[in-house]
Amino acid sequence: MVPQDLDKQIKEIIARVIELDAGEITPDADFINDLGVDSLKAIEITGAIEKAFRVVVPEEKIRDIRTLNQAVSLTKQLLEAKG
Amino acid sequence: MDSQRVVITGIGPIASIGIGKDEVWSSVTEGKTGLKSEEYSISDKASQKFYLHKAKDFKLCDLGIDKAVLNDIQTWKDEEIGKDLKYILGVVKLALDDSRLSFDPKDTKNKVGLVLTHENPGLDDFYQKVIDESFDLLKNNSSISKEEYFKGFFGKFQKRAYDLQTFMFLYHAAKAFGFHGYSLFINNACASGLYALEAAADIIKSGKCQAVISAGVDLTSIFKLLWFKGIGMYAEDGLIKPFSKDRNGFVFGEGGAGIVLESLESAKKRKAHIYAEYSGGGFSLEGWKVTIPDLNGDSYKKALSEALTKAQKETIDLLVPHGVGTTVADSHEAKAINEVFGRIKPPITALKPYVGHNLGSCCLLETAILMMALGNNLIPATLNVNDIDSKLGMDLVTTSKKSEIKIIVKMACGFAGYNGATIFKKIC
Repeated sequence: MVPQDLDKQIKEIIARVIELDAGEITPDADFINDLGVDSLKAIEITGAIEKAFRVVVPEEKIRDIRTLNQAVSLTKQLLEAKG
Repeated sequence: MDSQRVVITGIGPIASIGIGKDEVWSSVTEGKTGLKSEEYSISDKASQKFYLHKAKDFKLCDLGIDKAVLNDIQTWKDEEIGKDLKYILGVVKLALDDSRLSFDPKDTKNKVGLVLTHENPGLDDFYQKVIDESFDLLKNNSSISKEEYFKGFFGKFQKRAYDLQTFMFLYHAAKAFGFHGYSLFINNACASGLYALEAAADIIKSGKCQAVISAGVDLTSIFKLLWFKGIGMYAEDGLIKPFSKDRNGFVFGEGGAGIVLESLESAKKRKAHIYAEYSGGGFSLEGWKVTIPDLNGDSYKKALSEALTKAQKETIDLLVPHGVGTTVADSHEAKAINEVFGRIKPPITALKPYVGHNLGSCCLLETAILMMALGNNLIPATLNVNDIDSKLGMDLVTTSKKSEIKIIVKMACGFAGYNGATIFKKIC
């Protein structure tokens, strides 16, 4: 099931991992270019999302998660596929 | 009990920087590497250049292996022995000679075992032959039916494909030397060498074998190069720069090593030279992704902590991480090391800049080098590092230095999350 506040939950996860105020994370802000996140933190975000929502992010998709919107969209897809 | 203590009594390295322990160690002490640029062709016209640490070549006939046995292996294979098997035979022979282990190869009850490791023995040669011969088959017969192609392909490759099975690789190598004891094939990606040492130690402690040779090699091919380049891990400038700010991946190293292990009891009895005690290790399996370590987990830290219990709280004189020079793996290692040791860490050096990354055999090759470091009380410098990444908190040894070494920790974090850390202790 996809939680109604999925955007908010993922934003909070990202904020916690990258140690930034959630308000600064806009939907399309690029983690690396706009938020100064390195590739390691991007991997940590994936791990945190997997743990929070009990999903498995395909390895080849990890490098594609560069914005909040992309993270939400992929998590939504994975949750829906789980049923 | 000396029967429960395992020691290393022979080393046989082959690398880009030399054949045998003396050549290899001499190059390390001089700061030499075997880095080269090689051209690889994927067609009649196009070719690509790649950096690698290319292994020195040698003649199989110079190894002194029973010719009748070699001929028999070649007859079975119906072709040349192949690079992987040739180099495995080379490193095992060097290690055996170095150990002066005596056994009767004709005695099928001898208790000498073999633990081999290789990530994909024979696969690259196989790939190349399939491409070359299939292409010729198709080019010369454009109207070939699927059945004709199947029959032609199966006829050509059935035995080669059969020999890709790892038990066959183990069989050929054990047969060449007349090892008849408990033997295994191990594959835990880049941590394979540490697993192979641990398996050998377990076999010896169980009493199944008097001595076990752990051996592994890796040879480079266009297939591996393209794969690693594709996933962004190939260092375009050819330089492995572990834990440095400008680290950008690794290049491959060819070769590997054989390591002879036996009980302390056996080594004392035959008055063998003892390089070190293999005190055991810690191992873990993350079970997360293949090419990316679990940065949120503590699996690697657990392996290291478990290994340190085998050191019995003695001071660690040298820590050698995997040190592949990729952004992610180096950070993963630094995290585990920092969490276990805190601010006061042992001297740390990484050896891959000398010999390249030998994949499944890297830990065995580095173990051979470390046995020389231990005996000579010399910590080799980590090459290529001009600007250490301060965020990682790793103070590397960047100038080789004399220092009394009694205990070494060797670590590895492989693809698919295979982690290991092992302890080598000098026997005084």
